[in-house]
Amino acid sequence: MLVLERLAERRGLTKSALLRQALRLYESIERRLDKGERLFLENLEKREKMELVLV
Amino acid sequence: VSDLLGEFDLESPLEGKLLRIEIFRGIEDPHLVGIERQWMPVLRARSALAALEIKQRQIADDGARFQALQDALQDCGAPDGHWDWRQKVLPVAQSVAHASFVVTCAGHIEAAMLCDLTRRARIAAQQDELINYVDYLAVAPWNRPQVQSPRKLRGLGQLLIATAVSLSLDEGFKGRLGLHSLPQSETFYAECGMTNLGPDKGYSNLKYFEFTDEQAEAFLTDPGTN
Repeated sequence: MLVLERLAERRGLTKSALLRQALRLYESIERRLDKGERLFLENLEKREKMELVLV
Repeated sequence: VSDLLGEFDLESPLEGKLLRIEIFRGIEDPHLVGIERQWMPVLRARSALAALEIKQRQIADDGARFQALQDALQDCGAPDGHWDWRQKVLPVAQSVAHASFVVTCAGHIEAAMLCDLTRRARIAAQQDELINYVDYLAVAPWNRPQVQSPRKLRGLGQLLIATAVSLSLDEGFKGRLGLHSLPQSETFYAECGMTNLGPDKGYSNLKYFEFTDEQAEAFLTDPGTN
């Protein structure tokens, strides 16, 4: 799980704290999607906007 | 289910002695019933009186009238008379992104706090780092000097902020903490050592305060006694 170690180091969190945070993020996004909101990634320079669909 | 985090003795200016309080993680239905039955009638009555007073002054300008009402609500100790704790707590009761806390004393609800663990820091030195954001914090009406003098308990604010910093430390956020302050509490948060980042246009112009990890550590070392 190199990605876990890399992300934890980058965010200054322990691996378990990072996983808890990931779960919070997922839960927050799901709650907003459940309300009918949509999630987008936007690149202002390239004027690109993509919808992110959660599985 | 609420977890008992600890028991402490707080000064009671009213009774002139120390009173034993308990702090729990997790606001449950009985706590909400206590807030609704013990706090809200007092706060709503004071809010209604403030609104009536402002109405009688017949201020023509909308902005001036709104500001006068906000000032009157602050002065009477009920700026949160419109808060619905049940509506705030229940939707996030099972959420891993939130944490709630309640302080009790002999069965009475003395203070409550709701935290959001998904927010980011604003101070440049820690920009975008994760923080514990205090969404709502309130003490019972009888613990507010504007409502009752002498108040029942003193030191609840420090206790809850220390609890919020501890949660931040437990989550690996190094004590970082953020919140928007009601006007009557700005001096308190400044005296806690939080940095005042000024009015937030995106949040009813309430001032935003934040702890760096160093400030949080200094606060835990000496929380003060207000």
